[in-house]
Amino acid sequence: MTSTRMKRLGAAVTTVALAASLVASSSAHADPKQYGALIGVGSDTTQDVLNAFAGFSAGTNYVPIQSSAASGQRQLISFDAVPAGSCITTKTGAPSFARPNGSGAGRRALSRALDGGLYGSAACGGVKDVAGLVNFARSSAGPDNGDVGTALTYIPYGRDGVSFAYYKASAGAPVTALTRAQLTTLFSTGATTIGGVRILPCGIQTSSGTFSFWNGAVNVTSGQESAGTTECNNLLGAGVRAEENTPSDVKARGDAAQAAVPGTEVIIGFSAANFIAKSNGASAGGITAGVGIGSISDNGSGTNLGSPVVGSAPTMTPNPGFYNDGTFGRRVYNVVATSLLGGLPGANADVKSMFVGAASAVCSPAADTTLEKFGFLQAPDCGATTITGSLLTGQL
Amino acid sequence: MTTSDNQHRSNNRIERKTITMRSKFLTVVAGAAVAAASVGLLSSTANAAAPGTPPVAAITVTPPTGTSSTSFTALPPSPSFCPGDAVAGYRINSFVVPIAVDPATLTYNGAGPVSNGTDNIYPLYDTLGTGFINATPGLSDGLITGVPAFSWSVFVGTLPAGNYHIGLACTLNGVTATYFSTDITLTAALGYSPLAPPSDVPEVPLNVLLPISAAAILGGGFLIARKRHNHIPA
Repeated sequence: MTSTRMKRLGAAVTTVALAASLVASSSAHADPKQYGALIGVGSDTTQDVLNAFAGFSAGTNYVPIQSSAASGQRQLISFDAVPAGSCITTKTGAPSFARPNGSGAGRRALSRALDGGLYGSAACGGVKDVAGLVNFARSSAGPDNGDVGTALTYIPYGRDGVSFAYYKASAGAPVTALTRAQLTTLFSTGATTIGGVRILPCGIQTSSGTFSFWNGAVNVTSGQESAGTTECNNLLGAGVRAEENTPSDVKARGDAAQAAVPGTEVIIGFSAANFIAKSNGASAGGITAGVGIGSISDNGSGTNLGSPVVGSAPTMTPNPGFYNDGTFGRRVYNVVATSLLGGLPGANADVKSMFVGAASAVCSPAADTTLEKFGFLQAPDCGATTITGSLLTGQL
Repeated sequence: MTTSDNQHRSNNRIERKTITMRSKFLTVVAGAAVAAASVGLLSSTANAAAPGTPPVAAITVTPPTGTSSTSFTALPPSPSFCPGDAVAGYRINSFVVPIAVDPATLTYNGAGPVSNGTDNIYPLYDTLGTGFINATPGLSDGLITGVPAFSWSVFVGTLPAGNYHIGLACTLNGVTATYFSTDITLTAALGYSPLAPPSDVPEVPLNVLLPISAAAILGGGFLIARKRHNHIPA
C-alpha cells in the first residue's frame, strides 16, 4: 500500500470517527423528553388521570405536568392497568414484563424494581429483572392495616368516593341505596333479598386497590368477600372476577345473573371518580345503559352519605361530603421509593418536585383542574410524605 | 551423494517436520491460551466480580479538575460494553466510594450502591440532581450509553475531603459483574482532581491487551517457523 493510499485511508477513518462522535453527542442532547420520563404502573382507577398528566388521555391532549425547571422539567409516562395479561416495555432496550394490573400489582412491580427481585409471568416470557424500569406506582389504596414499613412512601394527591355500581336486567326498579350493614351482609354471605329484589354481590380482581379498599369499607375480610362473591364470580367462567370500574362487565354479569335467576340485581364496588369520568366522557368507554352508582344511606355511623355524584352527564361532579367520609371516601396515591425522598437534600429533585409538597407539579392548580375533570377532588394533604409502607412481596 | 549425506538430509527432514509440528503446536497452545483467557474473562463477567477484581478499563473524567458545581463527564473508553443487555438482566449503575472500598464488592438496589453502614457510598448524580441508577445498556450488544454529565453539587456538606473511586458498574441482579473506574481527590469544598499517583487501573485495558498479545504470539510463531524453514537446507 502506498503512502498516499495510507494517508487517504487515515483521513477517511478520521472522518468517519468524527462523524460518529458528532452523531452520538448530538443525539444525546436531542433525546425526547418522554425518553427519560418517570415511569408509572398500577391502578386502573387512576390510569386515565395519570395519562392526562402525561399529556394525552381518551382522545384529548393535555399540557404535560413537569418537575421543576431546576430538575430538568422531567415528565412522566404511565402504563395502563389493562388489557389484563398483556406485556409492557417501559424503556428502550429493556425486557418486556407482565403489565401490572391494579394498585397492588403496581406496588409489587415497584418493589421489585427497587430491591432487584424478579417480576412478571410466563405470559410475557417469565419473570424479569425490572430494576430501573418502574419509578412510581399508581395506587388507589394505602398501605395494608398494620403495615409499619417505610420503604415506600404513599403520596396522596386526590380524593375519591367508592360506592356500589348496580345493574338489573329485568323490569322493575333496582335497589339504589344500601347501608353499610347491608353491604357487609351481602359481601360476606352472598345473594340477599332486600326490598324485594335479589341482590348478588360481585368480586373485583384482587390486585386492585379498589378491591382492598372496598373490603375495608364494607367491613369484610378477603376470605369473607371471596365466599360472598363466589356465585357472581362464576357467572362468566369459573372464578372470573371483574376488572374494576368497568360498566360493561357489570352489565355482562347482570345479564348472566338474570339468565340464571331472573330478577337478580348485581352490585360491585366502584370508584365514583371513574363513574364521573366515564359519564362525562373524560375517560373512554362511557357508562353502559342501565348501570348506575348507588347511594350509601348509612355509613355505619348513622350518616346518610347519599350519592357520591351530583348532577348528570356531561356535567356530573363529585359529592364532597361523600368523598371526605372516613369510611367510603379515600385518598389516591402515587407511591415512590422513600430512599429517593431522604438522604442528600439536593438529590432527586425531579421526583420531589413532581410529587412532594403542596407546590409540586401533581398538586399544582393546573393538575387540580385535570384531576377534577376525571372525577376526583384534590386531597387536602396533597403531596404529603407521612404515609409509608413496606415493599410488597411476590412476583406478579 | 554419500550414505552420510542421505542420512543428514533425512535427519534434516525429520528435524524440519519436528520444528513445523512444534511451531504448529505452539500456535495451537497460544491460541488455546488466548481462548482460555477470553473464556475466563467472559465467565468472570457473567458472574459476580470477585473482591479485588480490577476495573475493565479506566473512566476518563472531563474536565479532569473542577469545583463542586463543575459539570463533568465520567466515561469509559468508547465503545464499552456490559457483558449483556437489559433483557439478560444487566444494568448500568454508578458509584462513588472511599478509596478503601473495593468497587468490585458493591451491590446495588433502586437507590444505587448499597451502603455498608460505615462508608460514604453513593451513586453519581447528574447535573440536575438525579442519581445515575439502573440504566439500560444497548439492546443485544450491552453498549454503555446514555451516561449523563455529573456534578458534585448534591454532595456539598455530605462527602468529606478524601480520595475516592468513582465509576460505572455493569450489574446483574444488583451484583457487580464488571466495572470501570478512576480515582479522584475531593477537597472539603468538593473541588476534584485526579488522584496521584495513578490508580491501579492497567495502562492498557485487558480487552485490548489480550487480543494484541494473541496476535503477537501467533505472528511470532509464524515468523519463527518461516525463518527455520528458510534456514534448513533442501
